Amino acid sequence: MDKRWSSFIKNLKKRLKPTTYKVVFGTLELLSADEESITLQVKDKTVKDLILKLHLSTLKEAVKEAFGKELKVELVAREEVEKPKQLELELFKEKEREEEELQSNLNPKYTFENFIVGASNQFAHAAARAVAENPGKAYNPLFIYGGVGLGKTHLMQAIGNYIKSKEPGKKVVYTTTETFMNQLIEALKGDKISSFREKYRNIDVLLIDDIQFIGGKERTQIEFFHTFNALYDAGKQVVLTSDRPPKDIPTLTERLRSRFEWGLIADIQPPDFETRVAILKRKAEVEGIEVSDKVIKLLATIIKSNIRQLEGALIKLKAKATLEGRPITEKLVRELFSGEQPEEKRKRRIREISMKIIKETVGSELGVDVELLDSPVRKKRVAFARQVAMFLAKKVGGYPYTQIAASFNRDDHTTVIHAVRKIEELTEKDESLSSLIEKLELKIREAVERSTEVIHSDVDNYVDNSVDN
Amino acid sequence: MKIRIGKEKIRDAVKIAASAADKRGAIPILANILLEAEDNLLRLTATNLEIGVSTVVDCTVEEEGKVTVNANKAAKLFSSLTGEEITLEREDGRVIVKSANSRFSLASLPPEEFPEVEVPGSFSVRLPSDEIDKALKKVSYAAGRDEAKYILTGVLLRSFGDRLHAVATDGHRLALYEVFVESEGWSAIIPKKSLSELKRLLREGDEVELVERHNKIYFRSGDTVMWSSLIEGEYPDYTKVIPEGNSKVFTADRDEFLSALKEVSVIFDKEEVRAVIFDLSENSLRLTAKSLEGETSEEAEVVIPVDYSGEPFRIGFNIVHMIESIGSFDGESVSVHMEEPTSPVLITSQEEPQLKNVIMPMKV
Repeated sequence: MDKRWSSFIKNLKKRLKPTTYKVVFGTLELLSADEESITLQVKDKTVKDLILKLHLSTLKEAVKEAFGKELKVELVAREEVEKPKQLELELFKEKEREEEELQSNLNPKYTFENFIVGASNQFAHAAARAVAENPGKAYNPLFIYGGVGLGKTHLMQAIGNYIKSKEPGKKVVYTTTETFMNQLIEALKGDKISSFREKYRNIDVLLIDDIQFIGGKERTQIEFFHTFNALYDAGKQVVLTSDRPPKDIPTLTERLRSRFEWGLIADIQPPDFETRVAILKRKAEVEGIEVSDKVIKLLATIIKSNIRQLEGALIKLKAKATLEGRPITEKLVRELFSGEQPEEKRKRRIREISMKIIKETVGSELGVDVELLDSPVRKKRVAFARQVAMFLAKKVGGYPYTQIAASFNRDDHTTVIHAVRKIEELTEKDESLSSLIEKLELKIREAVERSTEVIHSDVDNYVDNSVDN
Repeated sequence: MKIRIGKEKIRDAVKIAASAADKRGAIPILANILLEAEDNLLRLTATNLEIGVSTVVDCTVEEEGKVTVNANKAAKLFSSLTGEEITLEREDGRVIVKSANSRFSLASLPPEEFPEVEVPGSFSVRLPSDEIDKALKKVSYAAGRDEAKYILTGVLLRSFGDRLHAVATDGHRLALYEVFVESEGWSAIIPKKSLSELKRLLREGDEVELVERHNKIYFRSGDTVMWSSLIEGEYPDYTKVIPEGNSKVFTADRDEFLSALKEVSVIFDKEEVRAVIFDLSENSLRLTAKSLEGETSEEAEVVIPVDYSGEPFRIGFNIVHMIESIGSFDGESVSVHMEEPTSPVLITSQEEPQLKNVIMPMKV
């Protein structure tokens, strides 16, 4: 052992700058080692974190070279080893309820059979089928991305349902990123992190929805990273969905991003006209709504990009027809969806909100009153916040310069151009600023998403409910 | 109202009642003692709504009625008055106090403002005062201080069948004192701060009776009834954490054991974690403690003889828990019953079978 240990130290030294070695690994001690794993003790939690973030691969290489094979490397901070831990009397055990197993959360209504394939989702569908046939072997991870209501969740759950139907013994778990995060927070609070890990690392197929929300959540990213590695190493299938590709998820750590890109990235585009018609026809059949081809084609023309809305429109149409005792005709369609097309309406809403949300988010994050942003005040702090807000209005909101200028009560749009440029330059040099901008962008996107959800009218809610369930 | 009463009698009664009056003065009437004269008896009542006291003395009632006086002032006045007999009289909303050679006219609040107090007519448990005093004293140290587990900040009194249990725990250690006494089933979680007032009452008489009614616990000793409001909620089932049949047992001289613990605890400064490790071998206990503050660690070791036979065994404790527990026993010897280094440990004393302590070890 001693020989291998000293050769390991030598190897490690070889790979690192002397100062790095001294600071980070100077106090390294061997706690235990066996055929499969090696446990090392480091100075404290900070150093442990540092090694996990920066030097894990170096460490693994050195272990491999010294021990002749890859070993699982465990790091333990000194305080974790030495601190005696007070145990609890089991007074409240009953109430806390024992370890609940992870629920599979699969909704049986999502299957491949009722997924309508068109040119826009053909690729994602084929990839999903391949994964369902050969979990862990075909593409791992499978990363499906696309806009709201295009069937990402449907495809993902279909994979789960298919695997379950073939092999009921397989542990398939579907969860949203938010649930994953909440469970993690609960586990951290209740000091049950190891059982949390245990639960997630014993899954055969892990399906995680809306992974874009992991952006900016550092602790969740770390935990997910380890979960991902454990599953991946064990040849278990991971499927992720997102509303954007990995490279566009803000503040995603590089190592996670690269892992997301290891497997296959498949996108779903908005459906073409024929697909929309097919979707409507099937929905009408399932719901038992009698509706003419003309009406269907009209609906498919009006609503273009979102399948949930497309299906919702049909339900809405039926609701209105039933309530008012009228037949479903083209006239009714025009009444309901006339004037502004809902798609554009929604986009316009996002726009309107965006500017307000941008200002509010920037204001609250940087501690500047929103009114001050629109005012002529030129105090350094206010001016900076204003420039950031203008930059974001351009970058996130995509507004024209003149409109941004007007919104900030400025006559001259070159002020905006100047602000955008200045922030761009600064972010290149200043890492903390660029991460601040990323954080703001994420917050704005989340706020926009929330507010568009809130705006849904009651009828829309009704429709959403009946579509989802 | 008009009464004549012996000076010492009213002095003592006022002193007892005044202890329950509200000292903060948020509600003026609660800073007062209510005096009620009827059937040649004077009843004195005071309460701050958390706790309350009601006591009765005999007197000569010339005219029945009620009156209130400020508790603080009355306590001072009656302890400094001279003379054998005092008359007390209500006159135009004031209280007139006369002794042989003095006359006082005190302010008074309308007695109707005083909260309604109902004292139960019957009590279900009766036992010697010093027994309940001991029970409360010997467990209350173990009560929790964490407001987040509010229930555990109180002391549980539970009466069932043929016995009464006093219990306190903070989730890491637990103390139980068991008294065998005829009783009916009830349980009450008494706030810790009510206990000191209660102790004063328990010194008044030889016997005390108690009962729980309407989320209050009532104690009656002699002519005095005291009550405390309770912590609402359900106390956890403490009986299931008391281990039975732990196989590794050592018995030590209590004084020697306690001073050994105190000795090794000297090395702790302001550490959060104060662990002591017990290493048991044939008839010997080695206690070691290590302070982990800073770079340099300090160590202490004390070895004492104990009664132990069996395999060498190692277990760790929070030294504060150990010192408090061993210190709470009166017997000459204590026995420590262990099973696993991570399972609950029972501490008993042959000379004091009423008391049981359970301590959860530390993982070291």
